[in-house]
Amino acid sequence: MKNIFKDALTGAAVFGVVFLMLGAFGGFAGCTSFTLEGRAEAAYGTYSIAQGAGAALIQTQGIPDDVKAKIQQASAASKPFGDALYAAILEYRKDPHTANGLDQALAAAQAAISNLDQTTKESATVSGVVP
Amino acid sequence: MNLAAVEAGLQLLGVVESGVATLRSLFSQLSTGQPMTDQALADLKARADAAAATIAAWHTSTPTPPNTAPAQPV
Repeated sequence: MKNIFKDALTGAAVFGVVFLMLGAFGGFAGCTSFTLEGRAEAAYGTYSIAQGAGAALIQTQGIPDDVKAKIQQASAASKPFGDALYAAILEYRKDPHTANGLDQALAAAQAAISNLDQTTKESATVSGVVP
Repeated sequence: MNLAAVEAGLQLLGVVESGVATLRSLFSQLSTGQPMTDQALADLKARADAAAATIAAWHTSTPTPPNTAPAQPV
């Protein structure tokens, strides 16, 4: 019984750290005083961590299938935008004249990344992983 | 603790590790103006792709309902 509480507390603490990070990245991505490249990196960081949190939730037993299905949908919907953002960051590094393309990729990706981020947070809360 | 829980825990630790590295890069960028290294960005992509593949591979454990269609007359 003691181990169950320990595992639950450890899981909740780690998820808490993950969601604190997501909050920090969201703040960076929306910070207009940051450079365009910095905001794009922060958005991609949010995307990467939200995908990781989603994968951890998908593998966690006891989370309802409908919640996992929502994570799967949000993950699949955000992947093309995440990939496009990554490609745009690399392109911008090679040629800074492509700033407009990076700006557009960032604007296009923000809604899908925000949806994935929100879905993982809600899924963790709904399923009791994070109190 | 079962294997699935251990795997989920390891995955989360990877997420935390990746997040700490990225946050450090971003703070570094704030103070020095240097962007995240190509390698750090590539690591983020590798983690994101692996996580997305794990999520895509999940399928519902709900059993499919039995075929209740009436039998066709012979």
